[in-house]
Amino acid sequence: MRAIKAYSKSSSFVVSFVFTALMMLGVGFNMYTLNVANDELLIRESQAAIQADIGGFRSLYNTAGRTAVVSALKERVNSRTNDFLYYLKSADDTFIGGNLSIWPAQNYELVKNGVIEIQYTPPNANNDSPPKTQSAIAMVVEFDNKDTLLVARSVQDIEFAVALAQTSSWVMIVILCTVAAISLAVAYYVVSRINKISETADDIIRTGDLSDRLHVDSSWDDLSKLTLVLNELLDKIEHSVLAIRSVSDNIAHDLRTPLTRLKSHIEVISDEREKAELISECDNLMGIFNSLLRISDIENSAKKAGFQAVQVRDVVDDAVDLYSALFENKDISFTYKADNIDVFSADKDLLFQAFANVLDNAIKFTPNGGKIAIALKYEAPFAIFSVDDTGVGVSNESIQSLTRRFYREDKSRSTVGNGLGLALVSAIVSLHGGKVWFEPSRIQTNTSKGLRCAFSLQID
Amino acid sequence: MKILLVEDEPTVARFIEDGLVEHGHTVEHANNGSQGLSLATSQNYDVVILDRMLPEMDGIEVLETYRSQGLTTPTLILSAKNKVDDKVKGLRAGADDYLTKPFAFEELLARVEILASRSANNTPSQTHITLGELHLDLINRQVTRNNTVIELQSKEFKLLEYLMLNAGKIVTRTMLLEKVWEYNFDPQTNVIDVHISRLRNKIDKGFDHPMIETIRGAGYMISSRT
Repeated sequence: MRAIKAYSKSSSFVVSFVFTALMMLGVGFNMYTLNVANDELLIRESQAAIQADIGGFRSLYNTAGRTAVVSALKERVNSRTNDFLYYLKSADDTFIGGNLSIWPAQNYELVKNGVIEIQYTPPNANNDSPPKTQSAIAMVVEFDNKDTLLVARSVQDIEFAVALAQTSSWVMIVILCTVAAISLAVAYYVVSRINKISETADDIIRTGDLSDRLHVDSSWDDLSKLTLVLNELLDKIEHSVLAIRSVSDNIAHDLRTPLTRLKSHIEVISDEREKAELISECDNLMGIFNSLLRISDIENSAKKAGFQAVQVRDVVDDAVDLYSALFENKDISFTYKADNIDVFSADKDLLFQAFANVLDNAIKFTPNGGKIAIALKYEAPFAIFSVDDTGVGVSNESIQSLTRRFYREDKSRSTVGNGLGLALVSAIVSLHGGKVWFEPSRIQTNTSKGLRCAFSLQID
Repeated sequence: MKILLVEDEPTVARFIEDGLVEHGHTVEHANNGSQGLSLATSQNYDVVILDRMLPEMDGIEVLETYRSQGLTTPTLILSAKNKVDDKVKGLRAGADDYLTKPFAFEELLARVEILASRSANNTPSQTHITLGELHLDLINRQVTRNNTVIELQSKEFKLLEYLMLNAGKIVTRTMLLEKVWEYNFDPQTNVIDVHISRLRNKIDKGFDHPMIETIRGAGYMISSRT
């Protein structure tokens, strides 16, 4: 598992992003309504209603005269749903009808046939209380006999409604923005905590240091619970690994003593041939225990223990030098090419062991008079060590199993070895941040398939 | 030979003690660090075998203490962990050799015997080594046997030099890898044997008696015919 590098790859971040986008859409919609729902629109609507009303009264006046208008006004005023204000007066300023008690227009000349804002006392106000004034939109119309009708509508409600709408819109915008900000913050928080967890897990995988624990910074949420559970899991794993290690150490000790005793019993056997055979069997058994212990030791050891600055080319030179005696013994011709590689931190003895095991294998499976090509190449950030041979090769099915402990291909069962050599190489290589792989040999001949065994070592 | 064994694990201690006694050595055994220190400083031993991890007093601490008192008894450190820094720490504290558990008894025996002889004839800067009719000139890096010059490659020369420095003592394959090739590893096959047989071809072939002897189950030994 790797840390989430791009936030777009985190599900919680995507969810919060969608959430934020929806919130922003809501804010936009609110802004639009805010823009549209101003008082001008509502006032214009009121004016239109007033105009329509006036039109109605004018035609009523023209066709049925003043009395019809007065009774129509009465009816209108008494209706429950009426929100209009009326004042009808004659040419000599006498009140004829309507629900206003006084002529509210201060300056009649200015408002004649126009829209005015008036101060008036609402008709339903208590008579005892002093007259209150409110804003209203009004229109005045003069009929043919000089009667004048004032039609008005209160804008108090409109102003209130608009103010309410505006306030709630702003509140809504603030809430939406806050929600968006919070959801982004939460997503950031979640992603950074998950990243912290996976970084630690990554470290553990890389270094093999099981004593490392995830950092617990709080205890209230699901992620901290997950962290606690993972830490518990690490405790368990560390505990079992330590238990396994001590068990295998004990096995080694416990089996070593009887094996040594067995060997000293064998020493007194008089038949020299049988004695030699039995002793070599004992040594083989001892060798297997040692190799097994060594592999588990390497797999369980932390990367830094025993590491020092190593010039890898020198180590390969030495290994080739040591094994060249075996090449010559089997009349194998070999080539060796090596790049210069910067000094890097490694365990020199383990590297030598890995090179030696691969060379040893190649020699073992290459017939007399065969060929072996050894190479050390630098391919940043890795050093690649490879050995090609003209040996029997390996079937495709077996390639994956070559680094398994005790794995031996059927056709190689007759050769010397215990099936632990490549498992050891694999453990050493992964300790050095690399991997082992096998391919068909690049120096194949007509008669042999051959095998290329290669592994990488992390340099930088 | 009188050997002090400081080891807290009873099975390992028994295994070592029995083996050494069987090979004719006298062994005194201490269970912990402070007991080991008081024995090492109060009596004369040829070799001390010191475990790295000990109760009460760490092996390194014991070693440092008696080295600081001027005690030069050859010391071999035993350690359960295959770690280089442990090894470096041990050698820096004044250990003469180092062996990682688990080990074969023959390996321990060979090392202990070589350690004991090293203190007996303490000649650190030799320029010539002579063994019977074989003569090694360390300055001109020349080998002669019966006044016949033998051409050796540099690794072969180093191999012969190490064998001759420990003439009459068993030298194990692991010791050869450690001292001649300077790597601590398990060769799995007979690669050392091949090098030895090449050396034999040059040293012993054509002469009346072979000097390099194979000790079954242990290693090699060079000796002049007596």
